[in-house]
Amino acid sequence: MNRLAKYWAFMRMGYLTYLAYRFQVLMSFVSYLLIIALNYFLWKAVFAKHQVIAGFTMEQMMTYVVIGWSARTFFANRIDRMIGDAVRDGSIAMDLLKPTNFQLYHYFRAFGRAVFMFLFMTLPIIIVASMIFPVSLPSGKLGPYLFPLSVILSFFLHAGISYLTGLVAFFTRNNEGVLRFKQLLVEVFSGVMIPITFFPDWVQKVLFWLPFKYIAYAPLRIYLGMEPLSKVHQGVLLQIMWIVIIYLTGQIVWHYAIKRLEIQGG
Amino acid sequence: MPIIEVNELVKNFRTFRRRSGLWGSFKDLVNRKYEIVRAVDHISFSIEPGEVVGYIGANGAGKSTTIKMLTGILVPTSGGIRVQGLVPYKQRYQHVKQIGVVFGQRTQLWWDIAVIEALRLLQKIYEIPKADFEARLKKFEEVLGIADLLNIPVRKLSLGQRMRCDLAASLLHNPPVLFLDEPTIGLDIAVKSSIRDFIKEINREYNTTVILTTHDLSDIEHLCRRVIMIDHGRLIYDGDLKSLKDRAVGRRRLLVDFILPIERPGLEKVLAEYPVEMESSNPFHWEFIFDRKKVAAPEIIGQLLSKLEVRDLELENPKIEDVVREIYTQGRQVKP
Ligand SMILES: Nc1ncnc2c1ncn2[C@@H]1O[C@H](COP(=O)(O)OP(=O)(O)O)[C@@H](O)[C@H]1O
Ligand SMILES: [Mg+2]
Repeated sequence: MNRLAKYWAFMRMGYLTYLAYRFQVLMSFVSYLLIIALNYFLWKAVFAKHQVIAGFTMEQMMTYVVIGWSARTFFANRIDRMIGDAVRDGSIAMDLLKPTNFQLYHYFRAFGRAVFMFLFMTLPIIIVASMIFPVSLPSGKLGPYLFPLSVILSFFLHAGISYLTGLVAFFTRNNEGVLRFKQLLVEVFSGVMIPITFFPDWVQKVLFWLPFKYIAYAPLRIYLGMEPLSKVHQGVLLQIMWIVIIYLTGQIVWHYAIKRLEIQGG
Repeated sequence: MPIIEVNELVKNFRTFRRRSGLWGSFKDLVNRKYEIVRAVDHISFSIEPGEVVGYIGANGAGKSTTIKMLTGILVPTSGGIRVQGLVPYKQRYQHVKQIGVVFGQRTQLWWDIAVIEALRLLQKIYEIPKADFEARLKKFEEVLGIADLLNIPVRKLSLGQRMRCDLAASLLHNPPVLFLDEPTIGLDIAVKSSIRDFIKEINREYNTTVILTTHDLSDIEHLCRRVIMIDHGRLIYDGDLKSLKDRAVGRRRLLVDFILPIERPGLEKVLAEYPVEMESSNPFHWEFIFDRKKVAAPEIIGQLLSKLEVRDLELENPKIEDVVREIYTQGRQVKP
């Protein structure tokens, strides 16, 4: 019980850190609304001649866009950047001096941020955007229940990917390049920008074997009730599987990373 | 039985040497040139429970590198370390539970968050019983005078305020061993002395073993009976402070700014009759190091003023560098 208490406390600290910057966060609220508006006009033009594209109606697409981008504020994290910075400026020393699991520390600290984001970004964006654009409520029998679960899993999946990206800094000192590359992969292949069904068949086949589409595309399909029950369960199980695989990979890589570390500065 | 044992400890760093120019940076891409820096060079010592040991040396001597290995965040190149029976870098998790650490240039508090929140977090991390936590916090509030600081975000604290809070943070879990790396760096006299008093009190009350690095000799004078001195990664002195002081106490340093530039031969002529060493970074600024027992400061100052035009001068107590030099000239003295 006590052991868990410390990770709960990290979550709280992550939350409090962002609370100190709530006004800066509100600024990016506006840019999210702009992105959604841009998407709206784009899709309106695309759907002008078609009823259904790649399995989506206009309303489903707008729901996908609004829920997708607002969920992104929740499952995005800065773990990779924080580890990179801490390695570069040597403040990583202070983290290592604590009896904690470094990986879980980052997961939960970032989750505290996610809780903050949920309250101050995700929810407000959904509320404001659904007043302006056509957005539907979660569909299907399971949508309302499994979607929140699935997005929380998205968070931990993405946290794992960011964590591994962050660990690169232990080996190269500068993880900026890898960090950018990871960001690109996630933006494109998670399905936040466009649904995976828009990609060629072979890309979709490859993506089935990669973790990215379980970050956004899979939970959004659950929300929209576009998957049969069996596939919903499969999707959630695959999310959990990837979380476990990436967590264990993180633990193994950590073992080597820690030996490579040469802490800078006094 | 010693609480800390260090045996033939070595740490090499591999540093990347950049070549100059465009062609050089291209060559760097293809074929990196590395250079080995030996920061810690076969150091051995052992420390008994309850000792307060000053680990001193000039800048770059290898103090921080040693502390990082002792605290388990840096893996030694070779040699052995045991702290409370544990090998720090191998048993990091158990080890860090039983030590307290302060790095003068860093903080374990949270920049944007009130101090008290960070302390409460530490309570959870170290699984400190609530009653113990409250009792210690109350005591630290009194001794360090931090009661009014607890609700302020760390970024708004001055260095001295932050350092006092950091010190409290490092001792909440009542660790048997405390590592302090330059805890007084950049602090004013009042804060320095409150920190020294606190360390003394902790040591007396809990018999905490303390290793303190510094390049400020006055820290050592207030706190430590025993001193370990290193230079260029090597141990050059391990013994009591008193006999180190006996060697160093006579050393003084006179800093002089001249109105006109002057070179060494000119100065040597002026001061030919006085036993002084001199060094300088530029011909306007010279530093004279001398032994108080052999020559009095007024004699040197008088001679300089009568022969040369002096803009400014200042008399300093010996620096660590002077003591290091003294030890070299008198021969090393290392406890077996
Ligand atoms: N991470 C590092 N990479 C390369 N060289 C380092 C590193 N850390 C320290 N050094 C070098 O090791 C030597 C000892 O440094 P340090 O232990 O920080 O000295 P001190 O704390 O006594 O001032 C210095 O020459 C320093 O430049
Ligand atoms: Mg140092």
